[in-house]
Amino acid sequence: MISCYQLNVPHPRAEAPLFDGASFEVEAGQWAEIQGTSGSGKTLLFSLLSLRSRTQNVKLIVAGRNASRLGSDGLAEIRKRIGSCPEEPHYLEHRSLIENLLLPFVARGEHKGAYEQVTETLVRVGMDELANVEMKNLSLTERSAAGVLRALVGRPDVVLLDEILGRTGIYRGPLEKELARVRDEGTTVVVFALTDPASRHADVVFGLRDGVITVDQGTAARPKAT
Amino acid sequence: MIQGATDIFLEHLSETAGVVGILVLALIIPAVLLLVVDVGADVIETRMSAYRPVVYLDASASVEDVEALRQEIDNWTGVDSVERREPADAYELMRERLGDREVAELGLSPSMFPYSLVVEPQNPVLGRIELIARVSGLEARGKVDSVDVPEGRAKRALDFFFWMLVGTGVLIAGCVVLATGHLRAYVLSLMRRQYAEWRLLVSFGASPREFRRVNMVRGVSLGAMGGVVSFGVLLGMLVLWRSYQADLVGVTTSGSVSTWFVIVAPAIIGPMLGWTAGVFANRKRLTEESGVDALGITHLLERHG
Repeated sequence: MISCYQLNVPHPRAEAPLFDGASFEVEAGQWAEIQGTSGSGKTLLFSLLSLRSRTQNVKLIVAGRNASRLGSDGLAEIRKRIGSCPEEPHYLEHRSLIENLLLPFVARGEHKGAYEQVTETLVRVGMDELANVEMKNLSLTERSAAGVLRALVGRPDVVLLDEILGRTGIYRGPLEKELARVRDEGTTVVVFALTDPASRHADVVFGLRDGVITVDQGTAARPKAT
Repeated sequence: MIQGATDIFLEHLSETAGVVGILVLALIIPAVLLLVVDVGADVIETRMSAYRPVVYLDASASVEDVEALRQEIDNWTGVDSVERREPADAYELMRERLGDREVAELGLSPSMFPYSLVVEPQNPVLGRIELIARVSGLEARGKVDSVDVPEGRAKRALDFFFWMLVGTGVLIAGCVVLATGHLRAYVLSLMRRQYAEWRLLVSFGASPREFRRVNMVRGVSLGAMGGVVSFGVLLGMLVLWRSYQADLVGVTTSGSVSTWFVIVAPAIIGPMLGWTAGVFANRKRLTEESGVDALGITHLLERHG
C-alpha cells in the first residue's frame, strides 16, 4: 500500500545525506511505526508520504498509486484516500471540534452520515463533551488528540501521524484502540515517532538512521534492498 | 467548505451590502442614461413636430407683398395653412415674453416689427423636411428678410444626442469593467479569508475544481442580488416618472418596448457580470508549488498572493 524506493535527499547542514537510497514498504492493513531521533528526517518523510511535498529523487507509491508523476487533480484524488496529522496540526480556531473533524468529509464530498460517524468516534475516545467547544479553547493534549481523530475519521486507506501520538496524554489509549480498529478494517497506519517504546498494536517497526530505513521489529514486511 | 458558498455573505453583511450597492449603481446609472436618451428623443420629436417655420419679411414689404407671398406659400403641397402675423401682433408677443418695462427700456414699438408668415405643415413630422428646405429657399427673395427653420436646431439636437449616446456607451463600458472588477476582488477576498479552511481541505483531497465552483456560485449570487435590487429601483423610478412627467417636461410620452427592456436588463446583466467575475476570480491561484529547494524538495501547498 505504501512503498518508497531509493529516496535520496542531501542534508542541509552535513556532508552525509539525509536520505541515502532509503527504501521501505508497508503492506495494506498494517500498522507500521517509523522511529528516528530528532533531525533524522521523519517529518520530511511524512511530508512526502502525505503529499504535502514531492521530490524527483524517489519512486513513491501511496495508496497503491505512483505519486511521483501525478498532476494536481491526481494528487487531490490520492489525498482523499489519506488521513494525515502533522506534528503541529492546523485548525479552524473559531470553529468547534466537531466542525474541524468534519473537514475530511467535506474535502472528500462524503456528507452522508458524516456527523454521526464523527459523534460516535468522539464518544468512543471520551471526547464527546468537547464536541461543540471552539478549538482555540482546547488544551494542547486535546488538540493533539483532535489531530489524530481528524486523520482517521472517514476510514481513509492510509493514516499518517507525525510525532503526535505521544502528546495525546490520557487519550492515547482510546486513540490507539481506534487506530487498531481502522487498521483491522483494512487501513494502513504509519506512525512517526521518536525512539520511544513502540505501540503494542504495531505490526512492524522501522528505524530511520543514517539515511536508511531498516526493520527493527516485526516480520510482516521487509524493506527493499538499498 | 464547511458552510454553504453564500453563507459567508451573512458573516460579512455590511461589506456584502457595499459591494452589491456599487453593483446596483453600476447597473442603474447606465439604465437611467438610456432612459433619459429614450425620453429625450420622444420629447425632442414631440417639440420639433410642434415647431413651425416662420418667414420674416423685410421692413419695406407692403401689405400686398405679404399677402401675395402668403397665398403663394399656402398653395404649396404639404402646407396646411399660413398665418399672417401683423407687426402689432409681434409687438404684443414680445411684450408677453419680455414684459412692459423691458420693452420700454429697449424703446420698442409696433412699427419696428416686420410682417411674418407662420407656416403650418400638414404633416408636422414627415412633411417638415421638404417644407423646411422650400422655406429656407425664400431667403433669397428680395422682400424676405430671414426665415426661421428648425434646421440648425435639429442638427444641434442630433449632435447632442449623438454625443450623449457615445457618452452613454463609454459609461456603460466603464460600469461593466468597474462592476466586474469589484465583484472579482470581493470574491477573491472572501476566498482569501477562508484560506486556512481551504488549505486544510486541499490537504484532505479537495480539488481546485470545487473551489472554482464556490467562486462561481458567489459571483452569480452577488450579481443576482444587484440585478434584482436594480430592477426594483428602476421600476420605482419609472412609476415616479410617469406620475410627474407632464409637470417636468411638459409632454407625456408612453412607455415603449425599449423602456421596459432597459428596466428588466439589469436583472439579467447582474448575474452575467457575477458569472464573469467568478471566471476571472478563478484565474487567480491561491497556492502554487514552490520552486525546487536546495534539497530537491518541492512544497505543494505554498501560499501565493
